[in-house]
Amino acid sequence: MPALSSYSEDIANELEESVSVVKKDIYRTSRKLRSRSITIFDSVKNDIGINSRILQLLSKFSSLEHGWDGDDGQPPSPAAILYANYLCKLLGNRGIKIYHSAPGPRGEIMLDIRAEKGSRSVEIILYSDRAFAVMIDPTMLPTQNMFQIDDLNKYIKFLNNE
Amino acid sequence: MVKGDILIDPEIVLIRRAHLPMKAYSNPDGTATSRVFTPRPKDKGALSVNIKELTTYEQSIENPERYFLFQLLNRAPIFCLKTTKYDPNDDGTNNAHSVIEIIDEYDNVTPAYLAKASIKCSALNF
Repeated sequence: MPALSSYSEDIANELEESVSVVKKDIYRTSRKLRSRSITIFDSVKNDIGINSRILQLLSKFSSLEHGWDGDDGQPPSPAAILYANYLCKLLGNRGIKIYHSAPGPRGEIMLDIRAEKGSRSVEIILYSDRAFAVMIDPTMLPTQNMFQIDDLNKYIKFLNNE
Repeated sequence: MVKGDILIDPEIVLIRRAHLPMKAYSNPDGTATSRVFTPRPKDKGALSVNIKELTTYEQSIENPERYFLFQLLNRAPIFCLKTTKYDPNDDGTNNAHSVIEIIDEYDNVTPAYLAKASIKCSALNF
């Protein structure tokens, strides 16, 4: 009969091997989980970018030069682009999708937000030194005000017909 | 009609040409953005348009790879309390040219309204 100590050694070696195998398993699993979580995070990050298309447009607008419209158009103001980027993310975090964005001839950036139901819309026009919001209801002439972040709720209520 | 005449007929069809950079001037649904109807700094508030019945699609668009066209009724600038003035080129290159004036530098109401009142103009529906 083998000595108890040899059993212990065998068991210890077996245990060590098992632990090592389990350790490797855990490591492999946690690596998979990590990479999957990164993938999930990236996709969530991109989905949170419900305004990711607009952000891509803004990135393209930032490379426009003078005369970009073939007619003396000024390049988009860096300040306007920055503000537009900020609003994209802010509105995106609130689940508000920007319908479209376009550069203007005076360096402004226009953001077009449309109601999910109905035909109302709000345009936010960002210049280098000021910003305006235009509330558009097809049944009447649009109205324009200076735009301030604090007024966002007012525009959302307008879009929701409240 | 002579240069300087104000167009008072609301049914006159006007053509506005827009540049085609990255198609950003078109909304995803093909309609015009308000920036199409925003005067350039050099325009000094006068938005150039053509009177449709005095021009052709080819004359108005010049280069379909570079520009696209929108059309709207004269009633739209009238509703915005703007005047459309007949303004043919002095050198005879464009007898259909007119201007909608005066759209102030930071007036975004008129461009928004004119955009909503316009439709895309192609060779087929010219």
